[in-house]
Amino acid sequence: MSSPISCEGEMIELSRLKKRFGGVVAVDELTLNIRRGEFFGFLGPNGAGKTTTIKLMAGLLKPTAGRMRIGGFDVVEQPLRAKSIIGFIPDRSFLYEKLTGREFLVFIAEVYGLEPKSYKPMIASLLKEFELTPWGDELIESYSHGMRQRLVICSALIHHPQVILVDEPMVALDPKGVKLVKELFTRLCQQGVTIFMSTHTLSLAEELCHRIAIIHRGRLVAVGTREELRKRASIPQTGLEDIFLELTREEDESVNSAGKDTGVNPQA
Amino acid sequence: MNRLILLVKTQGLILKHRVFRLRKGVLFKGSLLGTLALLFIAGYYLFFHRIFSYLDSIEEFPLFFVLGLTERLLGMVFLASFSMLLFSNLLTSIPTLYLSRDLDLLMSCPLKRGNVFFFKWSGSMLNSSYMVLIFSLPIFAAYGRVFEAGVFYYLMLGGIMLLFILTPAAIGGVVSLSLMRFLPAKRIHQLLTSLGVICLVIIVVLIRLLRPEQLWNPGSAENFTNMLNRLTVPSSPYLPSFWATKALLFARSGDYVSLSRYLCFMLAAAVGTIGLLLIIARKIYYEGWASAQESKKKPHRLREGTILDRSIRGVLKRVNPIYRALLIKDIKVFLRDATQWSQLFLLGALIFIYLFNIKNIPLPTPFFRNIVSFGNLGLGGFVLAAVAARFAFPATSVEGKSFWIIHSSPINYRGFLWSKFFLFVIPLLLLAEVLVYSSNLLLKVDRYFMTMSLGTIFLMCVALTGLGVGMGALFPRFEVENYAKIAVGTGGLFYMIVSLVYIAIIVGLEVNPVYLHLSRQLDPHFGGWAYSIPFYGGVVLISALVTWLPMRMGVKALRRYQLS
Ligand SMILES: Nc1ncnc2c1ncn2[C@@H]1O[C@H](COP(=O)(O)OP(=O)(O)O)[C@@H](O)[C@H]1O
Ligand SMILES: [Mg+2]
Repeated sequence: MSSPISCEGEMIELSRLKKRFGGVVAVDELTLNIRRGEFFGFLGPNGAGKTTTIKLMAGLLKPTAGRMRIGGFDVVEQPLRAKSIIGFIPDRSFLYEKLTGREFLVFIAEVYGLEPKSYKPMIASLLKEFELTPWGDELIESYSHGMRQRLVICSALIHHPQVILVDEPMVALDPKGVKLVKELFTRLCQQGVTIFMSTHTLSLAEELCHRIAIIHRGRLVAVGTREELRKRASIPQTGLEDIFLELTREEDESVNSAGKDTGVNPQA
Repeated sequence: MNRLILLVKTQGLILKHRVFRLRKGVLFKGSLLGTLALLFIAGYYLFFHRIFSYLDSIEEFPLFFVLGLTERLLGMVFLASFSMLLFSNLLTSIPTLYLSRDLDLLMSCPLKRGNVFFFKWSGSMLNSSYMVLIFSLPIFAAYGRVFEAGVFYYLMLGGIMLLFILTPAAIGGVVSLSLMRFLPAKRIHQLLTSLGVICLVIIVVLIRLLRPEQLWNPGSAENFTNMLNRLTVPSSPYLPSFWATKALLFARSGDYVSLSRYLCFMLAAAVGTIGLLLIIARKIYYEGWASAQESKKKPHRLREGTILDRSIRGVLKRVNPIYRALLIKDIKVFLRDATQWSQLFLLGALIFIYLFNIKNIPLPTPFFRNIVSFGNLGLGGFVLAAVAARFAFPATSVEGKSFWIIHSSPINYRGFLWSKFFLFVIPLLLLAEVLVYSSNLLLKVDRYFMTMSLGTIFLMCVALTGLGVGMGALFPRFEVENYAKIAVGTGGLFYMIVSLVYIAIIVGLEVNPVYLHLSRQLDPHFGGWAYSIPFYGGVVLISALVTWLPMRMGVKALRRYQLS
């Protein structure tokens, strides 16, 4: 379509991003830079602001303040250009119940401006890869939760997005589906696709991601590679889980007394 | 029993939160709607008050005739209410008893299944009865007021209505239970909706064919007894509506013996049907529910997919592929949803009644016929607005919870909304032009009127569709699952009001040129062609504005929309 890619090779740039819902600040002064081809994990407990951040990036919500650029396109100023290079996979997926899986994928492909020549083989191979081929001509209303999730992932990949925004992808999937998605994401990453994945599952982030950000109450608490995060924590030999619990608990307490001991600098 | 109370309490809590935790905007909308509803009920009451007073006041009507007439009128109201109750109980009980979401939870709780059933069934009864009560109670109240009934009458009225709604609810429950025992839920719901709509159409057409206007048009020479006989209400002494009518009449006249006889009939019917319902429910409710759960998931392979796909694609070959994709999706979703397309039957009945009425208006002179044709234009606009409120106005809202797909994709909302516009404007134009053309043929109007009204209805159709699609995008309601509700919500109401103002302006603007034309017919030397131009120009201009402005506002609103 168009050649985005800003000069530094940053695919996702968030600067002082803020989102307020009435009195609740869901995302607070979030600044992140993510390179092309990076697999980025966005980690946080329930209600931390992960979904809100992803919806902001996908253009579903408008920020209260701050800027977002995806592939060099400002999401607020040039929404259509930004959206055309994003593949968005929401956590809860409502689909057109009265279309078949295949029809849905054709619909998405055409909406993203693809030609039948290119999307037909793509759809066939995606359905095959996600083991949906036998279900391709059934109405979506008969799909299970996991099958819907697979279909949504297919639909997000049809137009060869350069950035994939994915919110809690593994929730509905069975072990086989999880394995499939892990392999797929890793492969896409190697091909230069940038992946921004939110999750509350530590092991998943640890296993897949190049860099991990920890967010708590809308604020960035820590960001870095797994090793960096470990190094910065007070106790070096612990797993990520302890760091995560420590950081998020520390924040809880810091409401009363300013937290310090961890030595982790939020401004990575 | 304790558990049952708990269920009811929970429901009360939900209702309380709904009422007291309303956001400001909703509160405002709610009070606006409430006021409108109260005004409507008051007007409705006054209307029937007038009718009864009128009957009561005509000197030359003998008393037996007045009483007979009111009895028949009340009988008609009860009969109509009874059929509406049966109909709506049938339609709501299957979804509430078998498809509502909270059943998964309720069935897995340590509750007696009988309690769960009774709870859901009473909910469905209330849901399907309150509208009928709202429409019938003012009539009975007006009757009591005019014929000077005492407090006793109103007390009895409450009791009678309570007994009256129980029986159809029980019958509806029995029928639903038996149907569900043998047929899968998804199909049955669709089947019922279509059947229900067809029944409704038949009822409407029948009432139309009975020609109730004859009531108000008694030939002077005619014998009153003959007239009464001509107005027979199809009513058997075995129908609960007959008992209710009698009970109400005796409650007014104070004949306690007869009153208690009919009350006993009603009570027996209610107790009998509810007893039967509970026995059947104990036997087959749970099994039916369990099998409905399975049938929901049952795969449904589509063979017609490719044919449908190909034919739509063939027709829309020249359309931009992105917007064609949207149109294909919308058409498929519409055609595969029985609750959607079955409403077209209603539309058919509407047209039939419309033309039937036009045909039966006695019109002696061409002058009159032209006048009626002009009035018909306003009425046609109104019908069009109502149809657009049902189909075009929800155009954006039907995206429903799937709207995130559109909102996160690089679709230009201008194209999105205009493709919806074209999707609706073409069938609506077809409908409007056929309606106006055929009624003008029936009216035998002259060529000027034919051209003028076909042109005007064209403009109205385009404007009303633009207004509907645009305003629908301005007030989208993605959370509503039943699209028919969108049309009667606040936004839909607002749309109807704006539409009526627009139609009034258009008709008002055209009064002048029409007057000139009619004067020319009487006196050919009457000129003034040039004088008509600004009026028609105004019509075109306003219609264009009403089409374009709301669409533009709708596009802007969608661009700003936040989906959380
Ligand atoms: N539409 C909304 N209106 C009000 N508050 C919201 C809305 N969406 C999210 N929030 C609030 O924002 C915070 C972050 O929510 P979310 O981003 O969904 O968290 P996460 O996905 O990390 O679990 C929560 O406190 C939530 O209550
Ligand atoms: Mg979330």
